[in-house]
Amino acid sequence: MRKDIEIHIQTGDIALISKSSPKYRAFRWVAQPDMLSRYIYGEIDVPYTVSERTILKQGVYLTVPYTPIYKEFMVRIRRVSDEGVFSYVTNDVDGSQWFLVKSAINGGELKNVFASTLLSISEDGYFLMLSNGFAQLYAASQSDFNIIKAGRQNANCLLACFPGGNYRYPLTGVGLARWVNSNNVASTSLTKVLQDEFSADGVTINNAAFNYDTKQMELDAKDLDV
Amino acid sequence: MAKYIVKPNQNLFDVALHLYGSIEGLFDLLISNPELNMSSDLIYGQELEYHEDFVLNPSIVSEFQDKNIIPSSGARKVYFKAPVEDLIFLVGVNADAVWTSFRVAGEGTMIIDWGDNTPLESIVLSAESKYIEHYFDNEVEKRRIRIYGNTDTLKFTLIDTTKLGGALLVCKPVVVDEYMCLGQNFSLKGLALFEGTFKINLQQNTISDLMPIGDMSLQELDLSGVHYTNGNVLDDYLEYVVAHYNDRRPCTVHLTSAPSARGYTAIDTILNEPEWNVSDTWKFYINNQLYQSNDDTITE
Repeated sequence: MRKDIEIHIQTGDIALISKSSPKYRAFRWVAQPDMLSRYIYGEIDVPYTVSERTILKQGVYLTVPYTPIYKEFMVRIRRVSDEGVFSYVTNDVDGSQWFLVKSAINGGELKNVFASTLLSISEDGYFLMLSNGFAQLYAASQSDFNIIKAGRQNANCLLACFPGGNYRYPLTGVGLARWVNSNNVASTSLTKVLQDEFSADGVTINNAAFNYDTKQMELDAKDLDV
Repeated sequence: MAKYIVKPNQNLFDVALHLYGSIEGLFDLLISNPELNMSSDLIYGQELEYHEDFVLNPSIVSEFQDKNIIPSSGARKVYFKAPVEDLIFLVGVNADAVWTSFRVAGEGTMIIDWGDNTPLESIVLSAESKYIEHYFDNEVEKRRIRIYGNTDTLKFTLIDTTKLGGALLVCKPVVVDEYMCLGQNFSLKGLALFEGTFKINLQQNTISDLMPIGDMSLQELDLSGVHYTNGNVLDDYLEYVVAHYNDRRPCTVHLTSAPSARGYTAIDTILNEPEWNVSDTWKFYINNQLYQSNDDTITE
């Protein structure tokens, strides 16, 4: 069985899969009229069963909706029990409940984050780590390559590739696009090219049909989907 | 030395493959053409020199000749684009779109990342409005356009996003004198970060919330032909204007959907509050009928 890294055959990009599916915690903006208006304030709820030590050690995943307010912001983390009893994680540096949110955008130095600029970190979710009295914010997404059975993918690549397009094997490739506008594919050299290219790749083609409406090649080949 | 004419959409590796039968021929190409380096872009019709007796893989070269194959893979510039300025706008465009356009006028320079393989595009704004158009050069599952700039020097006198194909998510306060977007149904949420805006044209839009423009001190607001997703959108906006009037300037408002009773009450308050109609007066055109201060055509 052939295996390979999955690619998106139309975009040519590597198809990444989400490596983890973290538990995103609830986030909401809260009013703090007594505090300085330089900041806005947000609150994250986690179950009481998650200890403060775990939060400090492992961080918290959260989602924040697009907020068109250009202000730096602070967060506090509230541990809430089923009965509604709650306590806040304490900032050891200043003794308060609040942590100023900072991030190193594009790998630069750690800077305060403005609420409306969160989109430049991530559009989906965030990972927040409490450290040195600050809340350091990162994009939550973690991706990895996807390893798949590659019979069908190889066939698609072979059909799409033009001779001269593969630098290591310069003569390889069917280059199907050369035939897609032909009114009678059967009378062209496509059949021979298909057989030659696929047999050189160790694949036996049982049948091949060209769908004139969708301009798709439907291949029936031995072991293609195994 | 022989000469080779670069064919359309060829890069250095394509030429090396065509001439020598292997991309390792690149080194002879670089030696023969000292002005080139590994990252040089080739231009269609450009002349290159090569040693015709130096062939690395004759069978491939002859096969290319026999079958009339010309390697032409072009250049795919897939790299991280790091703009030096801050992100101002993020736009999510339909991934199927092959083209987009928007109209701008103003001063300063904006830098656009079109979300495809093209490099960052710098555009110097001028007083005369111009359409910025772009054809996407790749297919993606999710398309994002990012516009960067220095908001101390970048100021828009006009932004028209009618043909942009996505909502404008604003990340940083930016001066926009006039904004228009016709016949769309995108969220207006990001408009709350516009500064100094005095004219907004949202004709034929489908609108679910007008609050993002609630604090703007407008001189003209065109909501002709607008479809509201619920009956409270316009009334809520008018009541908000009354409750948070502050020192905004009088405005001319165009409506084709009449507000409900509480909307008319708010209009009545706006039109007949003397302090709000000093330098100029508020005007409401509702279905082309003018409503203004002390006009007895105001009804509930």
